[in-house]
Amino acid sequence: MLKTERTSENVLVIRIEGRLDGVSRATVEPAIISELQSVPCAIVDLSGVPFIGSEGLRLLLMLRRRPGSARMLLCNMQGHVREVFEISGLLPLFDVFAARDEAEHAARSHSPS
Amino acid sequence: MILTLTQCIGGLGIFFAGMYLLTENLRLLTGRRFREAVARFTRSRPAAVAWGVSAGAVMQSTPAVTLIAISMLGSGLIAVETGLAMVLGCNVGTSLLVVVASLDIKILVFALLGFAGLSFASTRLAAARTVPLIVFGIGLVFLGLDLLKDAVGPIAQQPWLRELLASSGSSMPLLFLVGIVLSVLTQSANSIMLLAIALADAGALTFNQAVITIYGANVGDSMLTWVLSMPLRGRQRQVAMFQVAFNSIAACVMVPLLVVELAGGVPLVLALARQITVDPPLQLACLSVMFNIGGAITLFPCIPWAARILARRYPPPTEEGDAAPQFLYAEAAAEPESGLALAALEQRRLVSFMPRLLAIAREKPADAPARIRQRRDSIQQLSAAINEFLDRVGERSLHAGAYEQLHAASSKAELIDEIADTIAELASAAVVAGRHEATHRLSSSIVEGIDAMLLTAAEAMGPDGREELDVLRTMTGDRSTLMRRIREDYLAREADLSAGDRRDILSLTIVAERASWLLHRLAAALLEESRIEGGGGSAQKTPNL
Repeated sequence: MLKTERTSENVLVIRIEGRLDGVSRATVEPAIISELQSVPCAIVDLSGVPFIGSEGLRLLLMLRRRPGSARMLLCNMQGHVREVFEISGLLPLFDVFAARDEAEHAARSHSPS
Repeated sequence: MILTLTQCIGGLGIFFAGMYLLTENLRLLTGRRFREAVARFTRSRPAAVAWGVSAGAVMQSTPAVTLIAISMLGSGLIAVETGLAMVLGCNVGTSLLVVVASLDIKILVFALLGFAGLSFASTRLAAARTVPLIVFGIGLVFLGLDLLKDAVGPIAQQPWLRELLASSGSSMPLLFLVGIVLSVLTQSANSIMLLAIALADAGALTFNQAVITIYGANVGDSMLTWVLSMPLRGRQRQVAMFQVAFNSIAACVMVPLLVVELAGGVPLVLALARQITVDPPLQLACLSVMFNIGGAITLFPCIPWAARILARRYPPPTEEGDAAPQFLYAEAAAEPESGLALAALEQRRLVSFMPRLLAIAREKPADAPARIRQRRDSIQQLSAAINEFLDRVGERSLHAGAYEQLHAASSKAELIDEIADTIAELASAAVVAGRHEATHRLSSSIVEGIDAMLLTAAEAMGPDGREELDVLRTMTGDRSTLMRRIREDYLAREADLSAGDRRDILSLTIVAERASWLLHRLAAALLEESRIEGGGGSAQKTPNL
């Protein structure tokens, strides 16, 4: 469900695979929280997520403002996922990038040297 | 003959019109205060039976009394066992009509109709018209039955009817069945019982034939309840099925007693009726009451056992438990500060139920429309309980700040009602949409997006909800441009959309836009409420859930 890749000392890329809804939240949430504690900045790659439900949106919202959690960037939203983000009105609350390299560039430019 | 037949039809019509006036106007008197007083009075089971007898005697409608019991069950005012005891008593109460109608009460009926009718001429009494309408309804019920009774005599003398009745011979099972069928067809067991009494009085039926027809009419009443209660679930079905069981069990007791008395010559119920009165029509009316008293005596000790069986057989759906307030209780209204805090908790609970409407749209079960309706009903019941509670708080003497808080809570309640209606509409639209892959995709996106807003709104109404409130305000900002773009994209991109699919897209996007706008207003209301309470740290100063 989760694949992680450290692209630099300060940036971790988390690739979620599969549906992100109320069912998968139970397994994804603890794993992602533990990963976010280890780095100052994380890129959540949503290219492997074909569907996001309201619980998935709430999970990302919760992670975004969790005290002591890494700065979170989102990238590679697919058609349905982007549409759900747009309708929910959550897009302005996240740093969203079309592609992973754009997100990595933004992460590097903001991360502490 | 034509005059007699039309008198028969007219009598039935007047009877039903009277019943309508009676039940509709009595319903107006059965508001919150009435139900609370009933709940206080019916704390013991015998008291609940006594109330049921009185209510049945006055209202003359088992469904109307059952409805009151069900609404009190829904509000958590009474337990199921109390509701069953009320229904049990109601059966005895409604049967008293037959006794009264068997008496010559023309003078009383005309007096009731006259005084109640004359009061309509007074404009001064216009504001208090409910009671005269109830009295007028009672008068019409008895007038209708009297006309019917008078018309049956000449009809009973008709050779064709006598031949018809003679052709059935003395078949008691057949007359029992006729009583059942006619009671179901006319939806009024009382009118069939009176018909049987009138036919017996005119000599068209023997006394014993009239008795078994009366018993059949009582069972027919249960059959009708059984048919009408089929769509009901949970406690509503439990109460309805108890009513079905009531007459069936009464028949299981009373019919064998009648058979033993007739075949064996043992003095039982018929002998008791003869002891009460020498007048045969009145004896038959007494037997109708005895049938119901027999059922009541048999079932009264079994109420706790019946409640357990019915609860197992017809378990309450989750939405039924949701309809009862969890935080509100009558005494809390006496303390406006804590009462308003409890109302806020209940309002938050109400909002937290709304995603369940969208869950139905997500799962799309075969009975989705019925489930949406039931869920909406439970939300409406809880909402009504909150509004009643706020009204009660408003009846207290409040300081200026509390009035402002109460006003804010009432405005929020109205807004929540509107949101619930809109979410139910959205769920219904999402269930229908999905014939085309594009409408299925759009409905899924909208359901998830609006659901996320609702989940955020419920969090924003909780303790430490300030941050969620800010998120909600951002989420629900102007959606009109976005929804228009999405709508146009879908309509332009999918060339093979049917007219129905296009209508689905329009309806989904319009309702979603309205839901978002209402949730934005809710966010503003929460912010205003927080300002009134003088708190900057949280949207609601409420204890933790």
